[in-house]
Amino acid sequence: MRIPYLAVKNITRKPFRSIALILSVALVSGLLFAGAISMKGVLTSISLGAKKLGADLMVVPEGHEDKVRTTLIAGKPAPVYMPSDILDKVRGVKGVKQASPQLFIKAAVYPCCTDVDAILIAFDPLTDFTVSPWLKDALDRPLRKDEVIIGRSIPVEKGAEMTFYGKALTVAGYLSDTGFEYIDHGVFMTFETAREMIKQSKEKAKEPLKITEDSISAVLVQMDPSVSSERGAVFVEYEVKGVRAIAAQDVVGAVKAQLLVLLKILLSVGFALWTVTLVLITVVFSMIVNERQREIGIIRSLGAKKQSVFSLITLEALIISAIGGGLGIGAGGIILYLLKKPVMAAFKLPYLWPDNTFIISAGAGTLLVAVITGIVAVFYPAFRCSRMEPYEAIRKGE
Amino acid sequence: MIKARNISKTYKLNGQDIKAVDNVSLECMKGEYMSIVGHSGSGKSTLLSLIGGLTKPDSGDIVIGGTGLLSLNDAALSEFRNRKLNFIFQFASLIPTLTAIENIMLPAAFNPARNRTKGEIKKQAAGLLEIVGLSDKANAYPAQLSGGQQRRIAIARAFINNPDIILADEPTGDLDEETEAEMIKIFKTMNKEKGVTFIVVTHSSAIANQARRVFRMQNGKLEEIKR
Repeated sequence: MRIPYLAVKNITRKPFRSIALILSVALVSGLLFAGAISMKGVLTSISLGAKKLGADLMVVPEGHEDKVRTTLIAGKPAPVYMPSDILDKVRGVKGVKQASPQLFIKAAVYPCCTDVDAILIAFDPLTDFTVSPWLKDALDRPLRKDEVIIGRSIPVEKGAEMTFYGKALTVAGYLSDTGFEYIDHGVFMTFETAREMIKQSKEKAKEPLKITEDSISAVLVQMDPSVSSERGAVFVEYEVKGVRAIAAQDVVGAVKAQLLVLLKILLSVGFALWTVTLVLITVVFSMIVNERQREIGIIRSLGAKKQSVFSLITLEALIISAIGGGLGIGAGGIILYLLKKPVMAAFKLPYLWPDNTFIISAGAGTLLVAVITGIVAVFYPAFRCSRMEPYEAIRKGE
Repeated sequence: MIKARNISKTYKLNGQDIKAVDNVSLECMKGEYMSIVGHSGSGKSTLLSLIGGLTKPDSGDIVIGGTGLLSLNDAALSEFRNRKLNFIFQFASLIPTLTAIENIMLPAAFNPARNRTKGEIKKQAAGLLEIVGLSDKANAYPAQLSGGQQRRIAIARAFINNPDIILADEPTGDLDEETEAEMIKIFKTMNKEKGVTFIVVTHSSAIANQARRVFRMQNGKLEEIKR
């Protein structure tokens, strides 16, 4: 029989009280863990998405920049169109290294998967520098006519056929998960395929596409390394009328701003709950120590050192906080996993589940915070009762 | 073996100084069986706690087996208590979350340096349970035992570390006459066969009469009763 055994026995003495303490620690730990995973998930997603976007600027029709941002972040198709001659104008702007057009088409809900939104994106394989590099990951040859590459959120197998606006398209491959809705919900095809689909839609689709032959939705721009994205955006907007240039950093910045709000809420709630838990553990353990004064005196009379009494009380708090921390991490992880989509959708944030290393680190960090909370909270009651003279403890406890 | 010289202890109670032990000197030889009688509040329990190192005197000196208790720090004093002496209190002193046998084994948990295995300690605890007649209650919790049974477990616990000294404060207060007689028999056996020193505070004349010397405590003063 050792101190840990006594500690466990003491914890089980008043199960309701111990469970209440465990749950309060679990609540804080769960919030902390889920918060860390959420933040990391959004940051990973946005940085991966921005990297995959591959462009410094996205030039879109003036007045539609917010819609395009929504398309990029939330994957909600917001088709906007401008004449294709914008492309040549953009190419002529000082500092522009490469420019390639894209066309966004709002997908009619396809027959197989009625509850999944998709955004059809046409690109020009000859000039493209954004989509092609990561299409290579999914396909080891150029994308052919009537073929598409799809994002991971669209549950269709490779080789299957998808029909949009009456045109059958074959899935040539799919992209890895990014959490970036524009990519995960994207159906990528060449301009040639897209133009033919638009043409055929007039005869085959219930709702024909009303997109003119020379329309494009955006021009993706890569700037010369000597010109920053922000300056490039100013140049483009100055020289090409009727457009807005969205810097990739702006998209990341917008998400980070949203994230900051979420983080502030989370931190405020977390700090308030942590303070309450800290005070709760201190108060409860002060009560426990008062209740057990005589027992502590008896244990001391039997030869327990001050240090043993201190260890006993601290260990009880440590066990409670470790169990609470573990439960919180488990419950927080499960709840986050189940609710991540609706929550992130509500905040219009992209999300990608972080890698295992981060999850393990976050779990270990959260557990450490929980354990330290328990130890800090119990320090004073444990110290006070360990300093008590055995006879005084016995007398006061009578 | 036990030498207490001019020890005094004063408490504050409701702002008033209460002199519980007033300049008491006492010598108890190794293997002696000594009794202290006196009214409630006369300072008997305080004197016992001073001798056992549970509290420190305001003045005076206590030496046990050549070791001055006042010179020991907390760790050394705790270890000394654990190895050399044990207490039997006047109240139910069992830990409610531990079974009877675990309560008996408890002092051994604070003395891992004695190189006894858990099995050996358990065997000794079972033997002590048999001595106090509660072998069938080994796994019972204190709440499942009567007051008398709890007291017998506490008595068994006092012997688990084979102490040299037992300081007993009203050890048979809750026991019926028959059980009290059995306990006296155990005390006498331990005293005579194992040479354990006993200082027993009691109201019971049966227990007091077992002692070679009997002392009376009155208003913090100690005097020997000549018989």
